[in-house]
Amino acid sequence: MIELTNIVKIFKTPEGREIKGLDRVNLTIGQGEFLSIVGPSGSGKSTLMNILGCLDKPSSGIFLLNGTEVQKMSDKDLSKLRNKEIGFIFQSYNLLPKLNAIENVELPLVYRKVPANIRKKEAYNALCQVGLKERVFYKPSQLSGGQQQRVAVARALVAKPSIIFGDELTGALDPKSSVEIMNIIKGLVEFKKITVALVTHDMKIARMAKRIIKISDGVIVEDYINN
Amino acid sequence: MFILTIKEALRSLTSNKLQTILALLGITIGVAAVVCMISVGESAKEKALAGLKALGTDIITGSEQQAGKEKTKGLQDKYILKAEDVQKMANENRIVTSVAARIDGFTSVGREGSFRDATVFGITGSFNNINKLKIKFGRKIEDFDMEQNYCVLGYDLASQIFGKAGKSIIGKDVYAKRHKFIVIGVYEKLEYKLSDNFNEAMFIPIKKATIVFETKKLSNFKAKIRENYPTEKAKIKLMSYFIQRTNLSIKLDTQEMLIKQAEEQSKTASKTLIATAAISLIVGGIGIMNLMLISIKERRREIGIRRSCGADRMVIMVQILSESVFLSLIGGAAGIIIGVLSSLGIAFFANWKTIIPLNSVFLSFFVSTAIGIIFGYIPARNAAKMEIIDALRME
Repeated sequence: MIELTNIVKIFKTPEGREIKGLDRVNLTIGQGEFLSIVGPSGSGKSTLMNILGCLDKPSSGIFLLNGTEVQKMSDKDLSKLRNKEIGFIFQSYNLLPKLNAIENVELPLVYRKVPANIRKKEAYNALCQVGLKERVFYKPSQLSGGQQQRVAVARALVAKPSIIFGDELTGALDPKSSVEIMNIIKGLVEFKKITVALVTHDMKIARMAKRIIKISDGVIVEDYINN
Repeated sequence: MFILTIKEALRSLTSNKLQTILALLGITIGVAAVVCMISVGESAKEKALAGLKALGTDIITGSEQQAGKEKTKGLQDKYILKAEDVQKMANENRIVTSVAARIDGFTSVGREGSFRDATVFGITGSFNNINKLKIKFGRKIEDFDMEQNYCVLGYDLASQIFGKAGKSIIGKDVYAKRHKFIVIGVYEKLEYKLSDNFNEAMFIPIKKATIVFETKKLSNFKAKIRENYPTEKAKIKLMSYFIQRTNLSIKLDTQEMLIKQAEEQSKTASKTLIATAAISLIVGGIGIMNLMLISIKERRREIGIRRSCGADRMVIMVQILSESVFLSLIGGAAGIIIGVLSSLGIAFFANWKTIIPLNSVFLSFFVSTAIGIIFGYIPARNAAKMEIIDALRME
């Protein structure tokens, strides 16, 4: 499903110095896998996730997603790809404060031009799945951190993506909410066969995944199946 | 999608009301100025033209070409346009049915203890008829009154001198430059405005005017042309009469020409006004651009989130553009309302008919939309060009 070959990402500092965020990364991810990408901060794990999620482009290397070379895609096609195939869950939830829960969840369907009535129904179903049936019209500011993250999960789910990326998705949550969110995520992998890749520095969270990839200084140092 | 875009635009614009209102102010004032100025220009033109048109198009106005009394003071009588010359012209040209010669002066007018400066017209008996003036009280000056110290007052002047214009002022004395006159009539108030303000003037026999102003030189004359005779042709005929038969250099204007001149003048005035309004519209546009640029800076994260949910650059661009167009349209609509209300107000106080040309309203709408697009383009392009990852990193 995903195949990275010799992916390099170079950042330029304001002074003009070049820093390698990723250095010749090779990685294959199959359909329905549940993996964690771990490493200390600054190791390049978020950079890797951004490239995998088509939010950022690698400086060199080949990135194949379902057989298509991502670097060669236009902005329009990439946007379509993000919309259809990829769901994101961020540490800081990234909900739009002006929109209520259901409107936030609807967002990917809006850009897919799904008619309003179908959109509302699907967004409502997604919110039910994450246990927020009673909070449909609440604005993010009226929800707790755990609830906001569940809205974010619903938004990632609603477009029925083939892969979901989570970037420190429990980083801002209390232990109880973290467990709740992780249970929802595990359910997605088990029952919906969605590929899930989590970036985390928390080994407890990482160990919930089937496969663990350790990254350090932009290089994959370990890649193993977690029993 | 369209309704949603409008909804989103409305939501983001109402989230910071004060900022939005301030940004709108420029475009609102600009559009209000355009609507109001076009309306006032049209109304003023209409009123000026109404005066000219009321006289009819069968009138030719004539005056001596070299203006200024000083120049003619030393000249012999035969080089000065006098009432006799005009009468002679009327007698010798059968196309002229009547003629009204006039000597104008500006002097102090009034009665014991209450004097003011006013225009005094020395007129003949045909003055009323040609200028379509009507008597309200008393009677008009006739040709047989030329030797009498009689006067007729404009309605407003009569009110100013006697407190109220009424029958009772007939027979009272009024002075013009130390010469005593007896009031024999008051004119009806003229509703349309002419270049000569007859409402605030005093009218005396032309012969008496030559004494008051110590000159025989006519200010101008109006000649009524025979019915259905083309005025342009009449003008040429009279022109050649003056050249061949007199030593006078006379300038003749047909009423049509004066109407055309008035129209030209108001066109020039409108152009100046519209240019001024255009500047305020540009200032308004810059206000909107500024608001949009600030708004985009504040909403970088939102743009990042939308992009990560599948919005392509074009969608973001359309969203920001529709916000700025929406903003300018609201500003424009407010401007049209204010513009129409001020035109009504001005027309009410200036006592003229309000004309609000529909095209000025359409023009304002069109200009507002164009401003929204033009001044929203740069912010929209900046928003669309943003890299998702940079936008998402923004706190």
